[in-house]
Amino acid sequence: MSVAGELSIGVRVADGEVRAVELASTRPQASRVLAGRTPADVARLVPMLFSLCGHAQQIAASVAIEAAIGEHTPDSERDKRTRRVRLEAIQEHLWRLMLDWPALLSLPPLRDAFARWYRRCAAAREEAEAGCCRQLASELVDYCDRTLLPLPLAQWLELDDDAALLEPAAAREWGPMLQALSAFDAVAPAGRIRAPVLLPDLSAAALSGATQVMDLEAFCHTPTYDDHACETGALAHGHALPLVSRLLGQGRNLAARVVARIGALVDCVLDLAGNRAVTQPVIDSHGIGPGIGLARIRTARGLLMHRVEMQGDRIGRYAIVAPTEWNFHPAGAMVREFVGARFDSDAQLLQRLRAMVLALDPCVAYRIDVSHA
Amino acid sequence: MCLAIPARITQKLDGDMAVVDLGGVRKEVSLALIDGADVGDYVIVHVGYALSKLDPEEAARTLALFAEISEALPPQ
Repeated sequence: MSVAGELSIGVRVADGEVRAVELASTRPQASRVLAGRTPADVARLVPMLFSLCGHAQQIAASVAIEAAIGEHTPDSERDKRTRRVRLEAIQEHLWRLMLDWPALLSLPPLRDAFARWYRRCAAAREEAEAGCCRQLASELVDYCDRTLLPLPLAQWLELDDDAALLEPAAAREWGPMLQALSAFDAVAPAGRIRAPVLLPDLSAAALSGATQVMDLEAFCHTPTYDDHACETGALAHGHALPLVSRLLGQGRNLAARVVARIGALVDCVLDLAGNRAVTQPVIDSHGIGPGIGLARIRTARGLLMHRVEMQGDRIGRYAIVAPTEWNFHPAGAMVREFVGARFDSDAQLLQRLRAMVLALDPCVAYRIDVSHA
Repeated sequence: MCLAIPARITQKLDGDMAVVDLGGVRKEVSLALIDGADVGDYVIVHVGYALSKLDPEEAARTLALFAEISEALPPQ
Protein backbone atom coordinates (compact mmCIF):
# COMPACT_ATOMS: atom_id res chain seq x y z
CA MET A 1 0.00 0.00 0.00
CA SER A 2 1.30 3.45 -0.89
CA VAL A 3 1.68 6.11 1.82
CA ALA A 4 -1.02 8.08 -0.02
CA GLY A 5 -3.54 5.36 0.83
CA GLU A 6 -6.72 4.76 -1.10
CA LEU A 7 -10.46 4.76 -0.93
CA SER A 8 -12.11 1.37 -0.98
CA ILE A 9 -15.70 1.02 -2.16
CA GLY A 10 -17.28 -2.36 -1.47
CA VAL A 11 -20.65 -3.02 -3.09
CA ARG A 12 -22.81 -6.00 -2.09
CA VAL A 13 -25.45 -7.17 -4.56
CA ALA A 14 -28.22 -9.72 -4.13
CA ASP A 15 -30.88 -10.63 -6.74
CA GLY A 16 -29.78 -7.74 -8.99
CA GLU A 17 -30.25 -5.16 -6.23
CA VAL A 18 -27.53 -3.26 -4.39
CA ARG A 19 -27.93 -4.17 -0.73
CA ALA A 20 -24.95 -2.35 0.78
CA VAL A 21 -22.16 0.08 -0.09
CA GLU A 22 -19.23 0.10 2.33
CA LEU A 23 -16.62 2.82 2.16
CA ALA A 24 -13.25 2.64 3.87
CA SER A 25 -10.11 4.70 3.61
CA THR A 26 -6.47 3.92 4.27
CA ARG A 27 -5.37 7.52 3.86
CA PRO A 28 -3.00 8.78 6.58
CA GLN A 29 -4.00 11.86 8.51
CA ALA A 30 -1.12 13.93 7.18
CA SER A 31 -2.12 17.12 9.00
CA ARG A 32 -0.84 15.59 12.24
CA VAL A 33 2.75 16.19 11.14
CA LEU A 34 2.01 19.90 11.42
CA ALA A 35 1.57 19.80 15.22
CA GLY A 36 4.51 21.32 17.08
CA ARG A 37 5.73 23.28 14.04
CA THR A 38 5.94 27.03 13.65
CA PRO A 39 3.55 28.93 11.34
CA ALA A 40 6.49 29.44 8.94
CA ASP A 41 7.08 25.66 8.86
CA VAL A 42 3.41 25.09 8.09
CA ALA A 43 3.51 27.56 5.20
CA ARG A 44 6.51 25.64 3.79
CA LEU A 45 5.23 22.10 4.48
CA VAL A 46 1.60 22.29 3.36
CA PRO A 47 2.35 22.78 -0.35
CA MET A 48 4.89 19.93 -0.09
CA LEU A 49 2.21 17.63 1.31
CA PHE A 50 -0.65 18.18 -1.10
CA SER A 51 -0.50 17.79 -4.87
CA LEU A 52 -4.09 18.65 -5.74
CA CYS A 53 -5.60 21.93 -4.66
CA GLY A 54 -2.10 22.64 -3.33
CA HIS A 55 -2.63 26.39 -3.56
CA ALA A 56 -6.01 26.19 -1.83
CA GLN A 57 -4.39 24.08 0.89
CA GLN A 58 -1.53 26.54 1.31
CA ILE A 59 -3.89 29.52 1.41
CA ALA A 60 -6.21 27.73 3.86
CA ALA A 61 -3.24 27.18 6.19
CA SER A 62 -2.21 30.86 6.05
CA VAL A 63 -5.78 32.09 6.53
CA ALA A 64 -6.47 29.75 9.47
CA ILE A 65 -3.27 30.80 11.24
CA GLU A 66 -4.00 34.49 10.62
CA ALA A 67 -7.48 33.99 12.12
CA ALA A 68 -5.95 32.19 15.11
CA ILE A 69 -3.45 34.93 15.90
CA GLY A 70 -5.75 37.80 14.93
CA GLU A 71 -3.58 39.05 12.08
CA HIS A 72 -5.25 41.33 9.55
CA THR A 73 -4.94 40.44 5.86
CA PRO A 74 -4.76 43.38 3.43
CA ASP A 75 -7.55 43.46 0.81
CA SER A 76 -5.01 43.22 -2.02
CA GLU A 77 -3.59 39.97 -0.62
CA ARG A 78 -7.09 38.56 -0.03
CA ASP A 79 -8.06 39.32 -3.64
CA LYS A 80 -4.87 37.75 -4.98
CA ARG A 81 -5.51 34.59 -2.96
CA THR A 82 -9.05 34.43 -4.34
CA ARG A 83 -7.74 34.65 -7.90
CA ARG A 84 -5.25 31.83 -7.18
CA VAL A 85 -8.00 29.59 -5.81
CA ARG A 86 -10.19 30.41 -8.82
CA LEU A 87 -7.42 29.56 -11.31
CA GLU A 88 -6.72 26.27 -9.55
CA ALA A 89 -10.44 25.43 -9.59
CA ILE A 90 -10.61 26.17 -13.34
CA GLN A 91 -7.74 23.73 -13.90
CA GLU A 92 -9.54 21.01 -11.95
CA HIS A 93 -12.89 21.61 -13.67
CA LEU A 94 -11.24 21.50 -17.11
CA TRP A 95 -9.45 18.26 -16.15
CA ARG A 96 -12.74 16.55 -15.31
CA LEU A 97 -14.65 18.01 -18.27
CA MET A 98 -12.00 17.78 -21.01
CA LEU A 99 -10.30 14.49 -20.03
CA ASP A 100 -12.16 12.40 -17.45
CA TRP A 101 -15.82 12.65 -18.49
CA PRO A 102 -15.08 12.10 -22.21
CA ALA A 103 -12.95 9.05 -21.30
CA LEU A 104 -15.71 7.61 -19.12
CA LEU A 105 -18.23 8.10 -21.94
CA SER A 106 -15.87 6.49 -24.53
CA LEU A 107 -15.23 9.80 -26.28
CA PRO A 108 -11.84 11.23 -27.27
CA PRO A 109 -10.37 13.47 -24.53
CA LEU A 110 -9.42 17.05 -25.45
CA ARG A 111 -5.77 16.57 -24.43
CA ASP A 112 -4.09 19.36 -26.38
CA ALA A 113 -6.62 22.03 -25.47
CA PHE A 114 -6.58 20.90 -21.84
CA ALA A 115 -2.78 21.09 -21.64
CA ARG A 116 -2.82 24.57 -23.22
CA TRP A 117 -5.36 26.03 -20.78
CA TYR A 118 -3.90 24.19 -17.77
CA ARG A 119 -0.49 25.71 -18.44
CA ARG A 120 -1.92 29.17 -19.02
CA CYS A 121 -3.77 29.00 -15.68
CA ALA A 122 -0.59 27.81 -13.96
CA ALA A 123 1.40 30.70 -15.46
CA ALA A 124 -1.26 33.28 -14.49
CA ARG A 125 -1.32 31.93 -10.94
CA GLU A 126 2.36 32.75 -10.34
CA GLU A 127 1.75 36.47 -9.83
CA ALA A 128 -2.08 36.26 -9.89
CA GLU A 129 -2.08 39.86 -11.08
CA ALA A 130 -5.64 41.17 -11.62
CA GLY A 131 -5.23 42.43 -15.20
CA CYS A 132 -3.47 39.26 -16.36
CA CYS A 133 -6.21 37.09 -14.81
CA ARG A 134 -8.95 39.22 -16.41
CA GLN A 135 -7.28 38.82 -19.81
CA LEU A 136 -7.00 35.05 -19.39
CA ALA A 137 -10.64 34.80 -18.27
CA SER A 138 -11.78 36.85 -21.24
CA GLU A 139 -9.89 34.54 -23.64
CA LEU A 140 -11.38 31.51 -21.89
CA VAL A 141 -14.90 32.94 -22.28
CA ASP A 142 -14.19 33.39 -25.98
CA TYR A 143 -12.84 29.83 -26.29
CA CYS A 144 -15.86 28.37 -24.48
CA ASP A 145 -18.26 30.33 -26.69
CA ARG A 146 -16.56 29.47 -29.97
CA THR A 147 -15.38 25.93 -29.30
CA LEU A 148 -16.61 24.17 -26.18
CA LEU A 149 -20.15 24.94 -25.13
CA PRO A 150 -23.22 24.53 -27.30
CA LEU A 151 -24.41 27.98 -26.24
CA PRO A 152 -22.75 31.21 -25.08
CA LEU A 153 -21.19 30.97 -21.65
CA ALA A 154 -23.14 33.95 -20.33
CA GLN A 155 -26.43 32.12 -21.04
CA TRP A 156 -25.38 28.90 -19.36
CA LEU A 157 -26.35 29.91 -15.84
CA GLU A 158 -29.91 30.84 -16.95
CA LEU A 159 -30.52 27.81 -19.16
CA ASP A 160 -33.46 25.68 -18.00
CA ASP A 161 -34.02 23.23 -20.85
CA ASP A 162 -31.52 20.52 -21.77
CA ALA A 163 -32.98 20.21 -25.28
CA ALA A 164 -30.86 23.22 -26.28
CA LEU A 165 -27.75 21.25 -25.39
CA LEU A 166 -28.58 18.27 -27.53
CA GLU A 167 -29.35 19.86 -30.89
CA PRO A 168 -26.74 18.74 -33.44
CA ALA A 169 -26.65 22.23 -34.93
CA ALA A 170 -25.54 23.59 -31.59
CA ALA A 171 -22.79 21.02 -31.19
CA ARG A 172 -19.38 22.16 -30.04
CA GLU A 173 -16.50 20.18 -28.50
CA TRP A 174 -18.66 19.37 -25.47
CA GLY A 175 -21.75 18.58 -27.59
CA PRO A 176 -20.95 14.84 -27.91
CA MET A 177 -20.16 14.64 -24.19
CA LEU A 178 -23.47 16.22 -23.21
CA GLN A 179 -25.37 14.00 -25.66
CA ALA A 180 -23.61 10.86 -24.40
CA LEU A 181 -24.21 11.90 -20.82
CA SER A 182 -27.89 12.46 -21.49
CA ALA A 183 -28.20 9.01 -23.07
CA PHE A 184 -26.21 7.44 -20.23
CA ASP A 185 -28.38 9.04 -17.57
CA ALA A 186 -31.59 8.20 -19.44
CA VAL A 187 -31.02 4.53 -18.56
CA ALA A 188 -30.91 5.23 -14.85
CA PRO A 189 -31.06 2.17 -12.62
CA ALA A 190 -34.46 0.93 -11.52
CA GLY A 191 -35.51 1.39 -7.93
CA ARG A 192 -36.13 4.37 -5.72
CA ILE A 193 -34.31 7.55 -6.72
CA ARG A 194 -33.19 9.54 -3.73
CA ALA A 195 -32.56 13.27 -3.81
CA PRO A 196 -28.98 14.25 -2.92
CA VAL A 197 -28.38 15.69 0.55
CA LEU A 198 -26.31 18.77 -0.08
CA LEU A 199 -23.98 20.71 2.19
CA PRO A 200 -24.98 24.39 2.32
CA ASP A 201 -22.34 26.92 1.31
CA LEU A 202 -21.39 27.43 4.95
CA SER A 203 -19.51 30.46 6.19
CA ALA A 204 -16.39 29.78 8.23
CA ALA A 205 -18.31 30.68 11.40
CA ALA A 206 -21.11 28.23 10.56
CA LEU A 207 -18.59 25.52 9.72
CA SER A 208 -16.90 26.17 13.03
CA GLY A 209 -20.27 25.61 14.72
CA ALA A 210 -20.63 22.29 12.87
CA THR A 211 -17.25 21.13 14.15
CA GLN A 212 -18.35 21.72 17.74
CA VAL A 213 -21.28 19.31 17.80
CA MET A 214 -18.98 16.28 17.67
CA ASP A 215 -15.45 15.28 18.62
CA LEU A 216 -13.02 17.09 16.28
CA GLU A 217 -11.14 13.92 15.41
CA ALA A 218 -14.39 12.21 14.45
CA PHE A 219 -15.45 15.28 12.43
CA CYS A 220 -12.19 15.09 10.45
CA HIS A 221 -12.86 11.44 9.53
CA THR A 222 -16.63 11.52 9.00
CA PRO A 223 -17.98 15.07 9.00
CA THR A 224 -21.71 15.74 9.25
CA TYR A 225 -23.83 18.86 9.16
CA ASP A 226 -27.13 18.95 11.02
CA ASP A 227 -26.67 15.20 11.63
CA HIS A 228 -26.48 14.48 7.89
CA ALA A 229 -23.65 13.12 5.75
CA CYS A 230 -23.80 15.85 3.10
CA GLU A 231 -22.39 16.17 -0.41
CA THR A 232 -20.17 19.13 -1.20
CA GLY A 233 -18.87 20.37 -4.53
CA ALA A 234 -20.38 21.63 -7.77
CA LEU A 235 -23.87 20.23 -7.18
CA ALA A 236 -24.10 21.63 -3.66
CA HIS A 237 -23.00 25.03 -4.94
CA GLY A 238 -25.06 25.05 -8.14
CA HIS A 239 -28.19 23.05 -7.27
CA ALA A 240 -30.40 26.12 -7.70
CA LEU A 241 -29.31 26.75 -11.32
CA PRO A 242 -32.46 26.31 -13.44
CA LEU A 243 -31.20 23.38 -15.53
CA VAL A 244 -29.57 21.65 -12.56
CA SER A 245 -32.77 21.99 -10.55
CA ARG A 246 -34.82 20.62 -13.46
CA LEU A 247 -32.52 17.58 -13.87
CA LEU A 248 -32.66 16.89 -10.12
CA GLY A 249 -36.46 17.05 -10.33
CA GLN A 250 -36.34 14.38 -13.04
CA GLY A 251 -34.11 12.17 -10.88
CA ARG A 252 -31.21 12.63 -13.33
CA ASN A 253 -28.74 13.24 -10.53
CA LEU A 254 -25.65 12.32 -12.51
CA ALA A 255 -26.38 14.71 -15.38
CA ALA A 256 -27.24 17.35 -12.76
CA ARG A 257 -23.76 16.95 -11.25
CA VAL A 258 -21.99 17.38 -14.60
CA VAL A 259 -24.12 20.37 -15.62
CA ALA A 260 -23.45 21.86 -12.16
CA ARG A 261 -19.72 21.36 -12.74
CA ILE A 262 -19.92 23.25 -16.01
CA GLY A 263 -21.84 25.90 -14.05
CA ALA A 264 -19.06 26.01 -11.47
CA LEU A 265 -16.49 26.46 -14.24
CA VAL A 266 -18.55 29.29 -15.74
CA ASP A 267 -18.83 30.82 -12.26
CA CYS A 268 -15.05 30.76 -11.78
CA VAL A 269 -14.36 32.23 -15.21
CA LEU A 270 -16.93 35.04 -14.87
CA ASP A 271 -15.68 35.92 -11.38
CA LEU A 272 -12.11 35.98 -12.61
CA ALA A 273 -13.14 38.17 -15.52
CA GLY A 274 -14.28 40.59 -12.81
CA ASN A 275 -17.45 41.71 -14.55
CA ARG A 276 -19.90 40.86 -11.80
CA ALA A 277 -20.24 41.17 -8.05
CA VAL A 278 -19.13 38.18 -5.97
CA THR A 279 -21.96 37.27 -3.60
CA GLN A 280 -20.24 34.68 -1.44
CA PRO A 281 -16.54 34.82 -0.67
CA VAL A 282 -14.45 31.96 -2.01
CA ILE A 283 -12.21 32.25 1.07
CA ASP A 284 -13.63 32.85 4.53
CA SER A 285 -12.13 32.70 8.01
CA HIS A 286 -13.28 32.77 11.61
CA GLY A 287 -11.44 33.44 14.86
CA ILE A 288 -12.96 30.84 17.17
CA GLY A 289 -11.22 32.04 20.32
CA PRO A 290 -7.78 33.08 21.52
CA GLY A 291 -5.27 31.16 19.40
CA ILE A 292 -7.89 29.16 17.49
CA GLY A 293 -8.73 29.89 13.86
CA LEU A 294 -10.63 28.24 11.02
CA ALA A 295 -10.45 28.76 7.26
CA ARG A 296 -12.93 27.52 4.71
CA ILE A 297 -12.25 27.64 0.99
CA ARG A 298 -14.55 26.74 -1.87
CA THR A 299 -12.40 24.52 -4.12
CA ALA A 300 -13.36 22.65 -7.28
CA ARG A 301 -14.18 19.57 -5.20
CA GLY A 302 -16.12 21.42 -2.52
CA LEU A 303 -15.53 22.96 0.88
CA LEU A 304 -12.02 22.64 2.30
CA MET A 305 -11.54 23.34 6.01
CA HIS A 306 -8.35 24.00 7.95
CA ARG A 307 -8.60 24.52 11.71
CA VAL A 308 -5.62 25.41 13.85
CA GLU A 309 -5.06 25.70 17.59
CA MET A 310 -1.93 27.57 18.57
CA GLN A 311 0.15 26.65 21.60
CA GLY A 312 2.23 29.71 22.25
CA ASP A 313 3.99 30.50 18.99
CA ARG A 314 3.72 26.92 17.69
CA ILE A 315 0.92 24.77 16.27
CA GLY A 316 -0.86 22.79 18.99
CA ARG A 317 -3.49 20.89 17.03
CA TYR A 318 -4.13 20.99 13.30
CA ALA A 319 -7.21 19.61 11.57
CA ILE A 320 -8.04 19.40 7.87
CA VAL A 321 -11.35 18.30 6.37
CA ALA A 322 -11.14 17.93 2.59
CA PRO A 323 -14.18 17.56 0.29
CA THR A 324 -13.42 13.83 -0.07
CA GLU A 325 -14.32 13.33 3.61
CA TRP A 326 -17.81 14.72 2.98
CA ASN A 327 -18.41 13.09 -0.40
CA PHE A 328 -17.20 9.60 0.55
CA HIS A 329 -18.69 9.51 4.04
CA PRO A 330 -19.66 5.93 4.97
CA ALA A 331 -23.32 7.02 5.08
CA GLY A 332 -23.08 9.59 2.28
CA ALA A 333 -23.96 10.03 -1.38
CA MET A 334 -22.63 6.65 -2.60
CA VAL A 335 -24.88 4.86 -0.13
CA ARG A 336 -27.93 7.04 -0.80
CA GLU A 337 -27.75 6.68 -4.56
CA PHE A 338 -26.90 2.99 -4.83
CA VAL A 339 -28.49 1.04 -1.98
CA GLY A 340 -31.83 -0.23 -3.25
CA ALA A 341 -31.02 0.43 -6.94
CA ARG A 342 -31.36 -2.47 -9.40
CA PHE A 343 -29.00 -3.18 -12.29
CA ASP A 344 -29.23 -5.58 -15.22
CA SER A 345 -25.58 -6.56 -15.01
CA ASP A 346 -22.36 -6.04 -13.08
CA ALA A 347 -21.01 -4.15 -16.10
CA GLN A 348 -23.88 -1.65 -15.90
CA LEU A 349 -23.42 -1.32 -12.14
CA LEU A 350 -19.66 -0.78 -12.45
CA GLN A 351 -20.08 1.86 -15.15
CA ARG A 352 -22.58 3.69 -12.97
CA LEU A 353 -20.33 3.42 -9.91
CA ARG A 354 -17.36 4.81 -11.83
CA ALA A 355 -19.47 7.70 -13.12
CA MET A 356 -20.70 8.49 -9.63
CA VAL A 357 -17.17 8.40 -8.20
CA LEU A 358 -16.03 10.75 -10.97
CA ALA A 359 -18.95 13.09 -10.23
CA LEU A 360 -18.02 13.13 -6.53
CA ASP A 361 -14.36 13.53 -7.52
CA PRO A 362 -12.16 11.98 -4.82
CA CYS A 363 -8.65 13.39 -4.46
CA VAL A 364 -7.14 9.92 -3.92
CA ALA A 365 -7.02 6.66 -5.83
CA TYR A 366 -10.01 4.36 -5.34
CA ARG A 367 -10.86 0.70 -5.73
CA ILE A 368 -14.32 -0.81 -6.34
CA ASP A 369 -15.17 -4.39 -5.35
CA VAL A 370 -18.56 -5.83 -6.25
CA SER A 371 -19.60 -9.00 -4.43
CA HIS A 372 -22.72 -11.16 -4.68
CA ALA A 373 -24.55 -12.64 -1.72
CA MET B 1 -5.86 13.39 0.70
CA CYS B 2 -4.12 14.09 -2.57
CA LEU B 3 -0.60 13.69 -1.19
CA ALA B 4 2.23 15.13 -3.30
CA ILE B 5 4.65 12.19 -3.40
CA PRO B 6 7.65 12.85 -5.69
CA ALA B 7 8.33 10.46 -8.57
CA ARG B 8 11.66 10.29 -10.45
CA ILE B 9 11.71 10.33 -14.25
CA THR B 10 13.63 7.22 -15.40
CA GLN B 11 13.01 7.30 -19.16
CA LYS B 12 11.63 9.65 -21.78
CA LEU B 13 9.34 8.14 -24.39
CA ASP B 14 7.89 9.39 -27.68
CA GLY B 15 5.87 12.57 -27.68
CA ASP B 16 5.53 14.09 -24.24
CA MET B 17 5.43 10.75 -22.42
CA ALA B 18 7.88 9.50 -19.79
CA VAL B 19 8.35 6.64 -17.34
CA VAL B 20 8.56 7.56 -13.65
CA ASP B 21 9.49 5.60 -10.56
CA LEU B 22 7.03 6.22 -7.74
CA GLY B 23 8.24 4.42 -4.65
CA GLY B 24 9.44 1.46 -6.71
CA VAL B 25 6.38 1.38 -8.99
CA ARG B 26 6.88 2.25 -12.67
CA LYS B 27 4.24 4.47 -14.26
CA GLU B 28 3.88 6.10 -17.66
CA VAL B 29 2.96 9.76 -17.43
CA SER B 30 2.56 12.74 -19.72
CA LEU B 31 4.90 15.71 -19.32
CA ALA B 32 2.56 17.97 -21.34
CA LEU B 33 1.71 20.20 -18.38
CA ILE B 34 5.28 21.12 -17.36
CA ASP B 35 8.42 22.51 -19.00
CA GLY B 36 11.96 21.21 -19.16
CA ALA B 37 11.61 17.91 -17.29
CA ASP B 38 14.34 15.37 -18.00
CA VAL B 39 15.56 11.95 -16.88
CA GLY B 40 16.58 12.11 -13.20
CA ASP B 41 14.23 15.00 -12.37
CA TYR B 42 11.56 14.61 -9.72
CA VAL B 43 7.95 15.43 -10.53
CA ILE B 44 4.61 15.34 -8.73
CA VAL B 45 2.25 13.01 -10.58
CA HIS B 46 -1.52 12.75 -10.68
CA VAL B 47 -3.54 10.32 -12.82
CA GLY B 48 -1.23 10.13 -15.79
CA TYR B 49 0.18 13.66 -15.73
CA ALA B 50 3.23 15.26 -14.13
CA LEU B 51 1.84 18.39 -12.44
CA SER B 52 5.04 20.07 -11.30
CA LYS B 53 8.79 19.65 -11.17
CA LEU B 54 10.85 19.60 -7.96
CA ASP B 55 14.54 20.25 -7.49
CA PRO B 56 16.45 17.30 -5.92
CA GLU B 57 16.74 18.95 -2.49
CA GLU B 58 13.02 19.73 -2.41
CA ALA B 59 12.22 16.17 -3.47
CA ALA B 60 14.49 14.76 -0.74
CA ARG B 61 12.82 16.94 1.91
CA THR B 62 9.36 15.91 0.68
CA LEU B 63 10.26 12.21 0.63
CA ALA B 64 11.61 12.53 4.19
CA LEU B 65 8.33 14.15 5.25
CA PHE B 66 6.31 11.28 3.77
CA ALA B 67 8.62 8.74 5.42
CA GLU B 68 7.79 10.48 8.70
CA ILE B 69 4.06 10.26 7.95
CA SER B 70 4.35 6.62 6.90
CA GLU B 71 6.24 5.56 10.02
CA ALA B 72 4.61 7.70 12.65
CA LEU B 73 0.98 7.99 11.77
CA PRO B 74 -1.80 5.45 11.76
CA PRO B 75 -4.18 5.51 8.76
CA GLN B 76 -7.43 7.47 9.02
